[in-house]
Amino acid sequence: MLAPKKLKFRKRQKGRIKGKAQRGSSIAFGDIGIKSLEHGKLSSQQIESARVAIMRHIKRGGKVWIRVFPDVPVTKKPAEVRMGKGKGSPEGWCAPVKPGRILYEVKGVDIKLAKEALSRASYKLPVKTAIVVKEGLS
Amino acid sequence: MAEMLTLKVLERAEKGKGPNRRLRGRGVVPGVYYNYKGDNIPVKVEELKLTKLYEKLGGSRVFQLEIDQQGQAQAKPSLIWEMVFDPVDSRPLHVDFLGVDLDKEIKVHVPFEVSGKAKGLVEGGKLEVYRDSCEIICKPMDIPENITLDVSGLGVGDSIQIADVALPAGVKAVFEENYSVLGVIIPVEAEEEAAPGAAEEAEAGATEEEEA
Repeated sequence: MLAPKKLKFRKRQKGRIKGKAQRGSSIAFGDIGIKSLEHGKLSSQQIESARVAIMRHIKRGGKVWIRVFPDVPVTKKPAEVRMGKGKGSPEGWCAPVKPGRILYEVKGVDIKLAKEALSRASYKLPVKTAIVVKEGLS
Repeated sequence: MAEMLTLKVLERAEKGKGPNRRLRGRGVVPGVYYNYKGDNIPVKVEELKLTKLYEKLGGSRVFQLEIDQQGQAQAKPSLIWEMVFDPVDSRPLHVDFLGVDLDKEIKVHVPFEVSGKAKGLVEGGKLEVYRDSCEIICKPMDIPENITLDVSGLGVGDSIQIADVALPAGVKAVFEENYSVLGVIIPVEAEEEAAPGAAEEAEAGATEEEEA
């Protein structure tokens, strides 16, 4: 799974995700991609699970780009612990996404196959998505 | 080139974030017209007409931009130089029109179109397109819709360089170093990529079994 190699601070405040994606909102590498239509946080497990769904469907050939990286630490308190006594311990990583963000791109396979693969990947993600095709391709 | 299409636009008095947002709400796209002489005219155009024109011409074909300035219409040969789209619903938010001088050469990007079936594909090769478009320099009326690349003669290991691409008369490709546009390669990477994928699948299968 994706995770940063090193980090400056172990815990981070949750924050709020506002506005639309300005960067990373157009297809840059592949022919077809999947775009987020909502804001949300993708965990590293979800990102990996969607990637595996794509790779299993396209089998061989083609190339897949993951356009998001989970670099925000997520903390969790242990079970049956009362509130207070400080923030929980780091449990994993997430990638905050805004509406319009391209999440995955695929190139080198039949468009129909790529659409099916991306459609399968969308079930693994916690946000509504849409499949987008590069300008000029049908 | 056949006769040019025409797009009617109005001069725009509204400026700033709020008025332009209200324009977009009414299905009108704010934009600007400028040229190399220094003219700079804010304009507004109906979204549907603009979208249809962009689908037909893209960003590299000349059309007549009819700017209605206080009841007087002026036709100016122009290009759609830049379009800004909404990141979510891909509707146009803003458009830049570049006025061109029909006698002066300009630089534009034109897409490639691949035609034919390469010999190398039968031999087990794979067609890899490295560049989707190239920059050309020519007079505005000579800009081709696309540049056709005939790949029927390509065997495995062959490629087409930008210097070898046949261009229409009056059109020159702009490049500093000669680069490959496409090539027929032996698909070795696919096998390499399949191996870690298979390993991961095996791992995933193992975890699923463990969970069960």
